[in-house]
Amino acid sequence: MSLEFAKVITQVERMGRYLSHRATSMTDRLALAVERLTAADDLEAIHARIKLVRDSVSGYRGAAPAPLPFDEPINMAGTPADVPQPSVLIAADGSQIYPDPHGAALYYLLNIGLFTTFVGQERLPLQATQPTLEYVQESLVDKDGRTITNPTVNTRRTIAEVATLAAQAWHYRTMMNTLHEVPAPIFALHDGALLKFFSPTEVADALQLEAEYYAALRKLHDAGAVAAGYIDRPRSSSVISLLHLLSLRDDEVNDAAVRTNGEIEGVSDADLFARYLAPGQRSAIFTQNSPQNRDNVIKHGADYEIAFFYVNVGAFDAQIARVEIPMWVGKDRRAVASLHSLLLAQCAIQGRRRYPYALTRADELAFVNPAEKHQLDELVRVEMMRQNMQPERSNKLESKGLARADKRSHQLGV
Amino acid sequence: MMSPSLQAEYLVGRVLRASTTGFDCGARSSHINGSQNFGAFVTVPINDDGSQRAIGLIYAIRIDDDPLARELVMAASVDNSTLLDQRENRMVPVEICVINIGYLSDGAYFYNLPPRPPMSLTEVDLMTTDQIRQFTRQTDFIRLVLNARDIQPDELLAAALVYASYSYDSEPERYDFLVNCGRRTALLLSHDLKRLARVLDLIRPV
Repeated sequence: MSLEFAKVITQVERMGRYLSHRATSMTDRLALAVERLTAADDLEAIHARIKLVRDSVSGYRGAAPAPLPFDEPINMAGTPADVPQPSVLIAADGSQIYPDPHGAALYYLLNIGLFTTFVGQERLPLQATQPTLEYVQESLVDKDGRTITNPTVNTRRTIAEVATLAAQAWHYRTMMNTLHEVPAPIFALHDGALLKFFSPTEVADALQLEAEYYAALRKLHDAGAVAAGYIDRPRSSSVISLLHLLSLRDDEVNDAAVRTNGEIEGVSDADLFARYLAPGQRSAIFTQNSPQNRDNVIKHGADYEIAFFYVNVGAFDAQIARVEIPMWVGKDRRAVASLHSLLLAQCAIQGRRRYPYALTRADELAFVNPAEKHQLDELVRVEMMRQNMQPERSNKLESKGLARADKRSHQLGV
Repeated sequence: MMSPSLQAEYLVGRVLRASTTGFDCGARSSHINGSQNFGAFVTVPINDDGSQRAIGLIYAIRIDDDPLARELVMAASVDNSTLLDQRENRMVPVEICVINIGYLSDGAYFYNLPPRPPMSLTEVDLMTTDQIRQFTRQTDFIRLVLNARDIQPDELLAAALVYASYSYDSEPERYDFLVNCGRRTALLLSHDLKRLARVLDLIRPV
């Protein structure tokens, strides 16, 4: 049975009224958040407050200024520099076909799209795809013999994206060295956060995948690449949490107090910086005060702490993106300035829908559409028949196909 | 036999879909040059050994948009790298629509619809000047153009005749050719003087 819109429409109307009411109540909170950010110009005091909360409170997950001596005034609004030319921008994105236990055979597919553009050079951008079909039993089940979950496939895909970026960055750096070329900056752009949590309860082989991820980051570091993760429409409120923390007295700093954001609860970082940053401007660099980041520093060194900044990529209206960077980039002012301006230039290519063009193309290359999935299924079935096997889909899947198929009309007596 | 470089120069595209009245062919946007003109004469084999070829006129050239291209045109400017990427990598297909006006069979030209359409992906070539002169020696193809539906027949005819006239080297030869075609057109449009006047205006030698 299809969705009964008559039963949903009144709920949609209630949802609209709720969102409108919420937006109205946010106005005052947002104004307060902006006021607090504007007033937060004592960097020494901010560092002291962060030290206090780290020493006394385990539950603070908000932002902190970048570590000394690489910190920036948290209320800064940085203007872009010139786009670095020449430079190489590599973007990767991935897509997947999840394992289908009802299909003829169990497999999954990862497809990585890679797009390389040569900024400031009259060179055709390069595009490539790397499809990988996984069908060996060991890669399809977890340690308990159960079929791997979609989060596991997603994580493996993410690792593959970053590993591909790292390999490509390494390739270009090696080429420049071999040809004794003047080294051009290499930017490696990932779609999504760089600070990743590999949950052992959700992801099979979480530890192994985490190791592979940091190996890829190390390769990016060794290639001298400016690595960045781009997050469109960020939902974080970590800077808001910092502003709330700064509003407390020393004796008020405790776990209970930092569990919410007090008077500015509900305001997001994107809301804040949409009001605060003019088109083209970026925020200060912050780090995320989280156990994962702390582990990064302990296991891999200070260069692997993940920092972030916000940038208004809009031309007239505010469009806020969050850019995550490892601290080996964050401590290099010129690299951050170049990254900032390059991202703005990339977003400007697309007119109204401000998003890095290189990531759009990488996504386009990676995307596996339903028709292609169906074709791959058919290829697998044909190959199984060639190998004298009888591929059969489950009764459940066949029944779904029957019920969901397009209906045809039949006439009697014509 | 044509050299590969000359073959490439004459290549218009490859057949996408076809019927006996005409066919559409596709080409990459980066391969669009002076060959794919409105009114140009083209030819495509309709049997395996190439002894039979359909002859047609290009009547439409289409480039489909897509959502990404629409966003790119909204930007203040499009940089060269993006243009290169769109034209060479994304392979925006250009569709070239052709109407059949005759066919060649075992060395002889026939001025009606070909017996069968070309197969998909068959190469479509521009006719050479020699071929155009030979084909247009008889003007019976004008009837097929004037009677075509869903295109702009008068404009197409005029473009084709002017195009064909340039296969003659000298001005007097071009003049004679256009006058001859004009006489044939007058016979076919004797019932519609307004339309005849418009077409003759379009092909009047300068």
